[in-house]
Amino acid sequence: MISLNLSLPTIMNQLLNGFALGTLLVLMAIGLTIILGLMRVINFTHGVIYALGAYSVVTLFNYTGFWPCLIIGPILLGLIGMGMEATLIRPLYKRDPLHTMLLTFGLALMIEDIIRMTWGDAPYPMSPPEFLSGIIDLKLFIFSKYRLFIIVFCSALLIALWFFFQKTPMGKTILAGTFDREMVIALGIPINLLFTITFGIGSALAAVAGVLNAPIQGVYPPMGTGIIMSCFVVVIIGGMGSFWGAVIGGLLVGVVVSFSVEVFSAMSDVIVFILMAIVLLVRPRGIAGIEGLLE
Amino acid sequence: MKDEKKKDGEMGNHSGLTRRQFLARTGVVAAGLTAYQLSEFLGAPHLKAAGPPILIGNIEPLSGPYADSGQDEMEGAMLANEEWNAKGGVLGREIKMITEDAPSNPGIGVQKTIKLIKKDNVHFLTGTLTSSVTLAIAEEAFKEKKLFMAFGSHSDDTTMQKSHRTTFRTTSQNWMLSTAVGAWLGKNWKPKSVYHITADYTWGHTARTSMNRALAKSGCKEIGNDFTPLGTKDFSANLIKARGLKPDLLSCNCYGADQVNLVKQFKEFGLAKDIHLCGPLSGIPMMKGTGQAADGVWGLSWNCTVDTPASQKLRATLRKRYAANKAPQWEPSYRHYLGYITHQQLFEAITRAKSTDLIPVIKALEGWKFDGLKWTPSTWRNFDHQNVQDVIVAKAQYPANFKTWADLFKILGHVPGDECAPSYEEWKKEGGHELEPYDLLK
Amino acid sequence: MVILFALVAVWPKIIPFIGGYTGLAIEMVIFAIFALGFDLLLGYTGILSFGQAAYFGLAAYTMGIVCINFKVPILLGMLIGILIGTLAAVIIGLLIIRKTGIYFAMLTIAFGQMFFFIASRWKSVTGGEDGLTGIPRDSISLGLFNWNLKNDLSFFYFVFVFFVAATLFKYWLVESHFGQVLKTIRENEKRAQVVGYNVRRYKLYSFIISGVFAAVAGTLYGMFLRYIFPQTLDWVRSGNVVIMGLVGGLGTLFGPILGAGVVTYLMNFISYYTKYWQFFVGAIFIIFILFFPRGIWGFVQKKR
Repeated sequence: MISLNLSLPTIMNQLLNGFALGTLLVLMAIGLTIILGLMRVINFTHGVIYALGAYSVVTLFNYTGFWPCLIIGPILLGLIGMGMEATLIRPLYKRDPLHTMLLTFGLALMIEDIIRMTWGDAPYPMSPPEFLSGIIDLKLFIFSKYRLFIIVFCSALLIALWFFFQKTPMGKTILAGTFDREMVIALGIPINLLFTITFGIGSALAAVAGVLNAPIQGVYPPMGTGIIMSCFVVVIIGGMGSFWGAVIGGLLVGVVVSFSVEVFSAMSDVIVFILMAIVLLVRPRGIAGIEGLLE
Repeated sequence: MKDEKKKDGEMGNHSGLTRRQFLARTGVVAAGLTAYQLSEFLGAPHLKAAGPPILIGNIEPLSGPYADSGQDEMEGAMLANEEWNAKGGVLGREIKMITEDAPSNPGIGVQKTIKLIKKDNVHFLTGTLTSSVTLAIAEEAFKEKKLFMAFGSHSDDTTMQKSHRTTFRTTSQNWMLSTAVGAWLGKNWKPKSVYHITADYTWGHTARTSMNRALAKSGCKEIGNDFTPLGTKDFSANLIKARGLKPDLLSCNCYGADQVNLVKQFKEFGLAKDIHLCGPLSGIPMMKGTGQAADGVWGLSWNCTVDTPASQKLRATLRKRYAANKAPQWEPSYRHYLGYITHQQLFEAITRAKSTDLIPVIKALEGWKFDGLKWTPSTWRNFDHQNVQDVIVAKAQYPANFKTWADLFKILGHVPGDECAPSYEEWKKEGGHELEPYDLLK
Repeated sequence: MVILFALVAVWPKIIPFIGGYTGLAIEMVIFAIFALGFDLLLGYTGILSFGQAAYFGLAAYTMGIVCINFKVPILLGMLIGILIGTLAAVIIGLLIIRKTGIYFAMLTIAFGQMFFFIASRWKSVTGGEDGLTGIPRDSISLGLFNWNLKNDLSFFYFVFVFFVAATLFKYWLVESHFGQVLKTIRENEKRAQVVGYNVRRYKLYSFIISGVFAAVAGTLYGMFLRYIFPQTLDWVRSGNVVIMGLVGGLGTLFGPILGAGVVTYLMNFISYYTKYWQFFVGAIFIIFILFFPRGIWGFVQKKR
């Protein structure tokens, strides 16, 4: 059951895997947390948008190859996200926040079946693009090239996001809004537009994660349901509404999951939930979250 | 994406939808599943029936991860139905099949079984693929006193620990497959150590046990095992762990998409240099997805390249019936074989028994030797209802001149069923469940 | 209400006319019990739990395990199952009741998923992915006579007994002082606190009672299928009961029962025609949230 056969190569590899998984989770978690923080919406569609991102690769790959997918898919899905928000979710803001959550839940069910209708039930295994596949053999341990690429790409995107949130007016407004929504409204900023844009950004981030993960995981219709749980866990552990919380939370969860596969594989799924429960009970705002948010 | 926008626009019109309107719209979407059901009713020629139709309840995963294999099984069974109906039916009665969709969730399988028995009043149950679904349905069938011909569950339990007088299993069980593969590996590669990556459910577990048993005969020991949940996509952690231990063999006790991902990642992480890949079970449904990473020595239940005249005839008939709507590289898979041969055997048994009653048909099957389209005859063994048949050992490959899926496997050899199935003593020792007395089924 | 009971009592006879069968009727009533409990939590107390399926499944598994491995008689097995399910609700409730709103909902999902994964992985005890086959449903002896439950119709009436009990219990509960307090909490928690109620304790009780309903329904479901499997515990299953509650009408007596019946029937009915039933169920759910948030019964009541 529990095996502690940890040699250096194994540790290095699991760390790498952990960071690869982790940076993807971070991207998705940031998307989820800005929607949660600013709009107080638990967005269940985050998972199926991730899935749609992955499936967009399946469709676009034959026309454009892999690289444009990283741009086209997320932009398209960002727009779709904005469309969903404006038409379906906006009418519900005046109501109980439970309703928006339930609506996104219903949407997620529908979209998952739409994926089935469009692309069929069977999973499509996929492979990384040619020059990124294979391994770097450093004698002592091996690195998967593609996972390294994921880490590099996500980190770059994260830095860009950080700039966006800290330096640009829109980004700063969004971040400010997660702390103090009333102030933003009071300042006369069109809140509806801000919400829509935020939802769009969040969805686009989920889609990027989907595109990136597709070559590793392949695509299969319920892939969204699986990842959204991990996302929620990251957001809770890291702290809702916090950028750095999402980063730390994502990397932590990624590494923990990777190592738990190594050490205690039977429990690798449960570990994240145990972690989440502990955090929620001991420090409910998460590692870096804002005190009292959503309580 | 387009569909989604349309859905958004239509939202407002749906308030106050009456049942009739709802039905009308649903009717449009009904094409897929209903068409198959309808074709059974419409396609059968007009028979002067010597009695009411014989109803077969066929349970297959038509959605979910194993949808394509489920579809194959159904197509194979349908072909058998059509052939017999063209000859005047079974005992002069028309064969009608109702196929229900049960993706790998066993609970749904049981619900569909209940529906088929209670609402549709089927005479016989056939089908399924996933071992956990099969076991659940077998229990229900036994309780309801219906014959259940399990096509495609390979887990040993189905005819060992969880066997029933009402269950018959067509495909080779893990024990048979692993023994054949293990024997070949022992003779040709002489491995000393094996690392297992095992899918965490009944089929995976018995696969590992059987592989260990078979490999132990040539002195090969297990040096590690990882259980992976069904549906695992990323085996990198497991493969890296395995690589660290330097086994001679890696046994892939996974099926379906799990197997595909494992085989691909096996290549991606460069393990092929030092480690041999093997596994108890594979087939076209898996290797068609691995592309150039196709590799490993596997046990096969059947393959379209089996060079007996009977197999090639079935391949040709299947191609004639189905190839038109399929991809250019399409070839029938072993799932087609299983569906076809089972229904054929069921109909022959009903004919011999001159009845559709449970006990006579069971007795007609037990001990019956028949042409399983392979090299030596197959038998429905009477103490466990396992179809004892030739097991094929083959190497998966992606040759440079790849044209169709027939090129994906190179048959290395075959082992007669008697030599690789468990003997009665071994069967009993493993916990074989004695079949219930006939009286219980009266 | 008498009309309701009479209607449900003859339901197995009526249902074939709309393309159903006794088994479906049984399912509808079992989920009605489940939905009644869920409605207590959301409709009357205003708490959303996305993890009720945990107690549903836990009770079913427990009953299965004790009956199969220890040959415990059915009624006792049910009792043990319900007790364990309730115990879990108590423990989890105590742990998380302090949190509110979204945090609370997330925690319920977390615990639900934990149970789901434990059920999936602990193969030696729960049968893992394969589930637990062989849950008994033979006869129970009630002193004077033996009630054979093998037959679907007689099992339906067995379930019916629990259904009547559950409905009556809930009716008594919501009409009582306890129920009034719950409604106050639902409207405005802070006000209820100010007035002097120990809000936390009432919420906890509501949570636990809801768990009891779920556990009862769970054991019945296990007996119905004679089999239980991990997917009965996951958050999608919990989501189903949320849909049932909403579609039927939260905060009403008949709403959840109606919702359970309608949704169960639809899921079954739609899957005859298409394999994309999830799409339609999701669509129906969305329609209700947007246009009929008070559910069918809520809509009917408004019309009156």
